[in-house]
Amino acid sequence: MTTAMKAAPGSTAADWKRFVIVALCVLTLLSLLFVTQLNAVDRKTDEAVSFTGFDFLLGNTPAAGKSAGSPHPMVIGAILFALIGIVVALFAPDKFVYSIVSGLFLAVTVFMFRFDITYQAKGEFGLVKDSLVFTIGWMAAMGLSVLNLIVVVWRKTGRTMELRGQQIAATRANANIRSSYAVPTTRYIIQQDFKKHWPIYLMILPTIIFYIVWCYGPMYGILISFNNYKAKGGITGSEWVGLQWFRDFFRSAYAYRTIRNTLLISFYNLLVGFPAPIILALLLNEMRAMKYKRVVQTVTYMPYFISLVVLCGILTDFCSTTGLFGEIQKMLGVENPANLLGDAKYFRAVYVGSEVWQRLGWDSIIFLSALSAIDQEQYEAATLDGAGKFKQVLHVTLPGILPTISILLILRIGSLMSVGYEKIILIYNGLTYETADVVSTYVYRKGIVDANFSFSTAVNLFNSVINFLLVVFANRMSALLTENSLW
Amino acid sequence: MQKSKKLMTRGERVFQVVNNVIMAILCIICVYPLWYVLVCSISDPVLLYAQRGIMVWPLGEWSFRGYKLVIENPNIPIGFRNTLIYMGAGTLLNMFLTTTAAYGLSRKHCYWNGIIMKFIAFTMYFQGGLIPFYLMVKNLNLLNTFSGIILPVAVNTWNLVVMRTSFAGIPDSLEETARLDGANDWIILWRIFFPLAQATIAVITLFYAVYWWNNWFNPSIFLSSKDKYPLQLVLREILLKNDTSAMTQIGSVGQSQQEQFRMLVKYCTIIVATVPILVVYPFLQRYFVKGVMIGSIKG
Repeated sequence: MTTAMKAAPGSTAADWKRFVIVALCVLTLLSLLFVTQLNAVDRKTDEAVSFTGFDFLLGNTPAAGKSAGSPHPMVIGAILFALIGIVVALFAPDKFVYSIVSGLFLAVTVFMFRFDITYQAKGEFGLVKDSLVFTIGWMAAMGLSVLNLIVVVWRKTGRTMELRGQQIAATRANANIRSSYAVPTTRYIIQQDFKKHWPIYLMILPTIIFYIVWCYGPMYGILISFNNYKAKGGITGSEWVGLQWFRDFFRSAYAYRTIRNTLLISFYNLLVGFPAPIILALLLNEMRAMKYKRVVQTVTYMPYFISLVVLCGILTDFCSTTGLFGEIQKMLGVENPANLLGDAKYFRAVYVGSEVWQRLGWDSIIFLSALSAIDQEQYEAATLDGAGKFKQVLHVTLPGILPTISILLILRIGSLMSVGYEKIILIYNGLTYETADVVSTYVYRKGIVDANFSFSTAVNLFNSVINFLLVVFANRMSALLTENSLW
Repeated sequence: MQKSKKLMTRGERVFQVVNNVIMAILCIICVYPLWYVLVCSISDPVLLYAQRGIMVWPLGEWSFRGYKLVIENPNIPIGFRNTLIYMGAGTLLNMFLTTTAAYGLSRKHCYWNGIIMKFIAFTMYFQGGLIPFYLMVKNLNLLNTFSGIILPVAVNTWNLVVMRTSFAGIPDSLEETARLDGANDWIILWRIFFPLAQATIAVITLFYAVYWWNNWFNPSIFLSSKDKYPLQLVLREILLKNDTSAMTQIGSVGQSQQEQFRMLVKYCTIIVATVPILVVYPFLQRYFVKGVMIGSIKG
């Protein structure tokens, strides 16, 4: 069994199937971009115009002087992820879940693309009707996406069957059972298992109920992002509006603003908040005065235990013009100190700064533990080779904690689009929305404050899907690079 | 110590000094904001309002009038009481569900465990989102109730996974011996596994307790009556929504002094709400640190 499993990825059969999947993905994208042609008539000049998906993506003019407008960020995002799907299918074809996700995403891309072209065309041109080429293009793209999914599933089932067959054969060979002996069926196994383990399942049951009600229940509630939720109609009974809320979001200026703010805040946080604890851990590691070191550790971990509300209370007080930061500004020669939380310019700095202040010591713990795991003999060997302190850090210490660093970095990248609302809604205000409003706070405002349930859920769904894919992607990358994965 | 000092070169000694200075500065940066708040809270309110500046010592004579106002305000004791209720009941429920489920899921040879684990782990990566969650609470008629705060967060997936890992590390032979003596799963869990995994259980309990101490967001959207507010939500009203009227009026102070007292009361509130944590923190620190390590082994 083990040898078969080892051989499988390298065998020609697997290569062939991998090739099929990637080819299907590529063909789908190509047909999207080149074969699809939108035949439309410009209402002003009455001329027939046609443009391809490729023109559309580049924002090329479909008719004289008229631009098709910028494409949905979502369409671009979908295509980007489909491309990532292809890349990962190329390098890690054995992950069933990932193949499914990339296949699904291709299908969604195809769907969104068509939706978008049709929608955009309607605004400025009269859509004559779907021309033959157009239909063929879409049919081809959609068909290929579905085929891609089927191939993935087929591949997986094939492998499962193969493994099960080998398992049965191995059981026979090991136990020296006559070939007429009935191998236990899955049904029999399940029955026996339940008879033996029901107390265990009983213990897990309350937790399973918790997950069904409080985690999967809300997932069912996501349906309201496709309808116009009214308390009377309930989750399924309200008027169906399809993708209207998504369209509204992406047509509004908020889409760009919130996505940009989310990415920028995470990026700055990553830029400052990631290396700082590493540097702190390195410096702590070099300390000789042990008692002093322990004091420093205790003191730097402390801010982590200040509750968010108190932290934000302190922050608003310090940032006011007469507060501590105001005084510091005066000391530095600023005549009229700014209220740092009342000016959009400073919001990100205040956010990231307070985040680093609170987490610096705490985040360094994990690096410190990685540092303490480095073999002392390596340092001795380095010293014998004539390496100074600095060279030791460069050639022994850093390589020693590199696995930890890379895993944490990848995890950070996986949460790039998930900036929480809890802190931001405590310290932002109308003056700073321009730089402070992230996707999650927008969801909060639209949903809880404005009671615009469906719209808010749609925006949230978009964000959750992106987050999910980022995490899946990060996890794949971490598995590829470090053979260490969350799953 | 003596030996290492001798081995240090001149460059290293310079480095040690510089490093120690950097660490001292870092400590000051970490402590000073709290020190500042503490100093402000016992300053003379009139002087404080007129001029704050970069303070290292209380302005004017020490005055504890702010603390008097804070303690006399009924909202803060109510907040403390509610937080204790949420923390007690919540942590108990959290721990019960987490230990039982973690025990069950850590058993090998159970046919469904793998699938259940995937079912649970999936929720770490994809959630329904804020509004569907809110609607769920609303549809179950749990808005503005104590159980509406506790039940929706009865299990934390990450803590469950950590606990399961620690249970899975306990040798099988112990379980088998107990079974031969006639123990069932329930007894095995509470009599054998629970004491053996004490360290992890302490850490997880702490994590849950800290969650309840810091919890303010769910209560802020689910609760409408103020007598159910946990402490953090009361703090938010005072610190961030500037709602200090209850205190400054009860204290029977003149209109002109209101602004001065408002500022003072905020500082005092921060101290009152933070001191309990900072007092217990040094004793619990090593558990928290251990918690980070336990979590990282898995990652």
